[in-house]
Amino acid sequence: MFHSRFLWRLFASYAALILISIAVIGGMILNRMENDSLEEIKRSLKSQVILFKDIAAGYLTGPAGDSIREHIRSLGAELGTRLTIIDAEGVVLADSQKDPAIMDNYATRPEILAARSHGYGISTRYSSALGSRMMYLAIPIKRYGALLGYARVSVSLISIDDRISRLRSIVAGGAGAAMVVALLFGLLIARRFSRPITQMTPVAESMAAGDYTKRLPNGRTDEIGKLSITLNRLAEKLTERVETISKDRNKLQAILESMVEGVIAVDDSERIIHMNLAAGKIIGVLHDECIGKPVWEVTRLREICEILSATIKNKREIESDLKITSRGNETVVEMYASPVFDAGAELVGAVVALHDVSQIHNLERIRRDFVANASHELKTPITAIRGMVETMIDDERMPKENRTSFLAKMRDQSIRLSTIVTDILTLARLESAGGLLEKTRTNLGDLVMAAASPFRVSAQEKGVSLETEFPGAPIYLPVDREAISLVVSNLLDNALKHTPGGGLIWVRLNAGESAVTIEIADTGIGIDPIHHPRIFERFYRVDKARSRELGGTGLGLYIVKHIALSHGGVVTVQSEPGEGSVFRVVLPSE
Amino acid sequence: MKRRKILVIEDEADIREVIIYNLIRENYDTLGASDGEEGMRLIQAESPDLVLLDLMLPGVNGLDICKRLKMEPSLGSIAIIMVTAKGEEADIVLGLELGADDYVTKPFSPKELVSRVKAVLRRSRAERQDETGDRIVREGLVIDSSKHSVLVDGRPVELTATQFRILRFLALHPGRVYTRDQLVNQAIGQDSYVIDRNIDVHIRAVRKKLSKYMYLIETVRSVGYRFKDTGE
Repeated sequence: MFHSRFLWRLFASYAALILISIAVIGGMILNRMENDSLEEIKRSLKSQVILFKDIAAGYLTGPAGDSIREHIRSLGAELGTRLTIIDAEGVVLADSQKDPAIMDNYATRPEILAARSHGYGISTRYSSALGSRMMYLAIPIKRYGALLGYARVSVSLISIDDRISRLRSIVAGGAGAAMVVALLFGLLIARRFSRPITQMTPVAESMAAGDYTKRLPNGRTDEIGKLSITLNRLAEKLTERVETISKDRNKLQAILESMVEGVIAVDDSERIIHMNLAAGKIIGVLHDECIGKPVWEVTRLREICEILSATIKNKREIESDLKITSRGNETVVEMYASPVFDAGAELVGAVVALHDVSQIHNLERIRRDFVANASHELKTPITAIRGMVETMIDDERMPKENRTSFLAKMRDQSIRLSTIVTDILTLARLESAGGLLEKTRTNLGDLVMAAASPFRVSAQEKGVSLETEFPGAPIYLPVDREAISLVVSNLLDNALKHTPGGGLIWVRLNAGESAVTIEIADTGIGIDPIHHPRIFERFYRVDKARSRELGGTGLGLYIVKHIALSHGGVVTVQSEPGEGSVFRVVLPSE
Repeated sequence: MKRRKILVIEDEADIREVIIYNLIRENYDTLGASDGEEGMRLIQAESPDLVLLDLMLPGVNGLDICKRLKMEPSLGSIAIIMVTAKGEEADIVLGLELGADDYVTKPFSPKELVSRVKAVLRRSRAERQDETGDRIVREGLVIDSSKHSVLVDGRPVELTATQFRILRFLALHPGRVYTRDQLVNQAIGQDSYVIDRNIDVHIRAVRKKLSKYMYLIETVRSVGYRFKDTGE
């Protein structure tokens, strides 16, 4: 409060006013009093000189006697006045206070000079002889026009001077006291005026700084009161506005943050004004650390910087693709950038939406690969069949043995074609169902047994013994019966194909604590471990030629894996070349 | 005439057998290989006149064989016909740029394959006879290099230098497919400013000027262009 410049200015001008008034009024009063006193003394001196005049004239004309001198001395003492008689030459003849013999010639004293020329002389001056201020009054004494001498009365002004100085100190003291009181009042008044303003200042300042929580005290009815009411209302309005704006902004922020697409907004100098979480994730930065930085400082992805600057430059939407490779993963991003205009159609920046399409791309690639592989697989038998058929049509004289061999080959190729088609259709059905299997509670032992039984005949024909090993207690599990039989028959088909005569194939069923294992093992040719990671891929074949010979499609194990996964299980392989293979399908139990 | 020797590199035994059967019927000497390694061995041992090459081979793939053949000067004269499945256009373009003479897509008719084989062998013979082609006559079209003129049914047509070069180059090798890159590099010359897709513009202009013979320049979708082999 005492730092308030306003208060001190108010107070200083008030104090100056009081000081000046007191000084002027005091000065005037003292001056007037001194003048009045001097005038009064002058008047009394005048009347005394008139009385003294005759005595002086007598003295000047008559013989000078001690009695007259004595008379003058006593008169002077009585009147409290110094009486002096001076002759025409200025020599002091008699004096009521001093011995004339030791006195100077008075001819040049101002009151004598004035009396000679004007018939009356008055002078006030300091007498070093008496040590005080004196007032002198002299008149000439004439007889028949001749100047006899002068009568002079004088009085010490010491009493008046004392009085004046006493008065001055009274006035000064009074003025001082009055001033102290007045200044105290002044301070109070100044404070009263400046307090609401000094109170308003910090509140207004905090409003300016964005804090609208403070309110000014009410209750005054004057202009200051009105001002604080107005300020309070302003603060309320601002609070409301700010709340609305921040609510809107939060809503917008929440929308942007929850978007899957990345969004980066920049101003016209390409500084980031907004970036959502998804955008940060896509380009690999912490999104809230990027606000305010130029986009080229935040990301090294040239495409993003380019699309934004091109959008700003050309003032139109731009679409482009972006490939980000980090730690071996490729992310494909579609970018849509559009310029941002303010209400006045002035360009203020640009916004780019980043859409991660890697998954779509991946699926697309997988689909494309599958179509390419499938069409290749289908085309091979078709090419063979068509080639042979057309050759037979053209070559009417084809030898019989060639004809028979072609027909047998055509039959094999068409069987192969239908196997491939069946497998592809099975796969399509499994994949389109998307795991929507028809699960029913099934005795797994019965199911596996039933799936294995068709192979008994062909095993016997080949001279391979097929053995089954099931636990005593039946195992019940909710499975898609058709799918699980397919798993068993695909694995058995493989085992039988790759096990030469005299070999062994086991089908085992084990119930563990948390899983059931269907195990199909053989003593066949085995699989080199370098192939293990890939044998469950579509159309992957360890030995392409051999697989074709045996009528494989390259889809069997993929189908097995697919079914195992859709039952929440896994399929594993354990094999060495020449040592046989063990395939295990592990299904979680209930 | 000496019998031509043809090597068939194809991993599918049945297809290989039917191709060979048809080639034998046409009095060609034939050899068969089921993979790239065997194929390369037979090429070096037997130096065939033509190789029928499946691109999707186990082991060394068809494009690698193609590259090796064209890199080795002693084997560079061996003609190559690629046998591919559709959907492998990128491989076809690459193969043609590597120097393959033609291609056939699966499934093919044996008759078509045989006629392609004949055309390629005829062409490679023609090239060896050094038909520099000062004057090329195809149907009613006469291309005269010395006069730098083209006559359509006897009427002269104006062609720009680039258009003339493209037309002459294609007409010199009827039936052979050229990719856009090959046309830019071989027909027009690398120092020119024509780039890839610009070829399409030139071809369109040439066709327009050939008017009724525009069918002579054939578009091979996703691959390039070919001058119609009218079997002359």
